[in-house]
Formats: sequence, C-alpha cells, structure tokens
Amino acid sequence: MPDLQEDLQALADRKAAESAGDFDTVLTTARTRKRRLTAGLTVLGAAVVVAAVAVVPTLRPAHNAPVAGSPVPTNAVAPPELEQQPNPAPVQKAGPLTLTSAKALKAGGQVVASFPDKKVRNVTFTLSSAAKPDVPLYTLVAKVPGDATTPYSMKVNPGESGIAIPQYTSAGPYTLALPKGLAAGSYKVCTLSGALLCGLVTVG
Amino acid sequence: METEGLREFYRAHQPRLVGVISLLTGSRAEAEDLVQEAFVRLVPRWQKVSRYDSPEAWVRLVAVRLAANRHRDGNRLTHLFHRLPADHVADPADGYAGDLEQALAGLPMPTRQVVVLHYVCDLSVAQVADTLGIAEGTVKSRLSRARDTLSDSLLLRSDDHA
Repeated sequence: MPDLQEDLQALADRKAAESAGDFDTVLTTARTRKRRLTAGLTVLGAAVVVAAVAVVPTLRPAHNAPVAGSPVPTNAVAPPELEQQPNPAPVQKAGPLTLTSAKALKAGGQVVASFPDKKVRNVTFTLSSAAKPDVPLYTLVAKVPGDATTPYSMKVNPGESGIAIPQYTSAGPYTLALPKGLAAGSYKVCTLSGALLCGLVTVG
Repeated sequence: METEGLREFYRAHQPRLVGVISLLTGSRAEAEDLVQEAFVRLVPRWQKVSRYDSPEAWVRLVAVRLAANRHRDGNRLTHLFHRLPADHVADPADGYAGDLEQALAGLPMPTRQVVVLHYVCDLSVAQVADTLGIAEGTVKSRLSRARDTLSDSLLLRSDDHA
C-alpha cells in the first residue's frame, strides 16, 4: 500500500487545482447578507413596537376589574378574599368621635362611627352643618343588628318631639346612613347619649 | 485595504481548502459551495480573524463543520450518503487515486474528518482532537480504524485491477 499521507495530499492537490472560486461573489454575498440582516432587525424592531402598542391597552388595571371591550378575557381565577379595609382618606377626626368610610362620602352614603372611650351609647346621633354646629339638621339612627329598617336619618323639625328610636345600646362601632338629600359640604356628627363625642364628615 | 488583504488570503487558501473539503464531501462542487460559504462568513469577521496566528485554520474549521452539518442533514433524508454522488463516475485512468477516493468516501464522516485533518492538513493528533472537540484517544482509534479500512479496501481493489 503506497504511503497514505502522500496519496491523500496528492488527491487534495488535484482537487484544489480543479477548483474555481470567485472572490467578488463572496464579497457580494456577504454584503447582501449583512443588508438583509439589518433590514430583518429593523422589521423585527418595528414589529416589537407595534406589538407593544397593541398590548398596552389590553393590560388590566391593578384592581382586577374587567375592562370594557377588552379583547383579553378577564382572569377567571377568583382572587383570594380580602378583608375590606376602610379607606383612611375620608377619615376625619374632629373631637373624639372617629368617622370612617370605605369610600368618598356622598349623600345617602354610610359612615362608621367609633367611640375611642369604648363606652356604651344609644344608636342615635345628630348631624349638623359644620358652619352651624349648634343647629341639628338630622337625627341619625345607626344600624341595629337584626333590624332591616336601620340605619336611617330623620330630619329635625323644630318644636317636634316624641320621635320613636330603637332601644339599642352598644359600645360601637355604629354604622350611620347620611340623608339622601344632603348637600355637599362639611357636617358635624355627634353622639346623643353618654359623654358628647363629635366628628366631622365631608360630603362630596 | 482590508478587502485587498482578504482577497489575497482568498487567492492563497481557497483552492487548497476546496481540495481538503472535497475529500470530506466526495464532491468538488459541493466542497466549492461549502468553502465559499466559509469565506462569506469570514468577511464580516476578517478584521478579527486576520489577527489570529492561523486565519486559515479558522476558515478550515468553519468549512469542516459546514461539511459535517450538510452530511448530517443529508443523512436525515437519505441513507445513501456513503455512496459517492450519483454523477460521480470514477475515471478508470485514475487507478489508485480513484480507488482511494472511493475508499475514503466509504468511511463514516467523523473518521473521514480525522483522516483529512491529520493526513492532509498535517495536524497532530492533539490538534485534531482540539479542533474537533474530541479526546485524543478517540482521534487515535479513528485513525487506526481508518488505516485498517483503507488498507483492506485498497488491497481488495488492487487485486481487482490486477
């Protein structure tokens, strides 16, 4: 057997001698490929931007409420139940009576009244304008457990007496209902029994 | 200026590289395609590769890998790779050279790579192992099997010629 290495090299040399190559074609192909790559990246970048613009309106708000007309289905998984914490924003303290509401107060809305002294009081409160705190406008009857008619409010008519109120006492907190026709403004809420406690609420 | 350097490099190494890759593919035309592709990939990297100790080793490695990839892809479609291309007709005048080419084409691609890099490109066993990312022992065993196979094959054909 002849020397393998010499024969293989001779074979390779013979193939090399027959080979044809065109350097200009190499250059042209390389440059064309580079242009295509650049164009491809440009198109890809544009597609990413378009996709991002298309996706942004479908993002759901953080509070997980369904978006009207959203093409993305809302999350079918029920979120874990969370204890509703009162929004501290509407809380107003004017005097010892703490008045808390889960949302901005409006006429007909509800507010929770808490007694810092934890003393037992009746379910009745007075509502007066902050500008004229000495003139009661309404009597507020707080929510009584088991009584579906409560809470409610009664307009105070000067000279009228003998209104019927539920005989219920508690250390609170009490849920109060603001009158439906109450104009926007600041009002003072005070207890009607026990040591006087007052607080301010703003109705929007 | 860079283009001129690359052009010189192409002129100096392209023919030899086609000869080497031809032994892997069994087809000069296919080898020309692969070498062309290897040089196309070299163009954007020329500034960096030209500073290597052996830029031709870079191009050769790319071409060898391209040949292996094409062989693998071809094998997925057909099991006929171990035959020479259909349009290849051995010239009777080639005699031993034609037999050697056919015998080489009968080797598995990994063995052919080792044979070509070691015997044609003059790489040491360690360099072949490093180039192909395999153990030196693997290179040695493949070379040994290749020698046995080529020897047997060429001896049989020599008998035929006689």
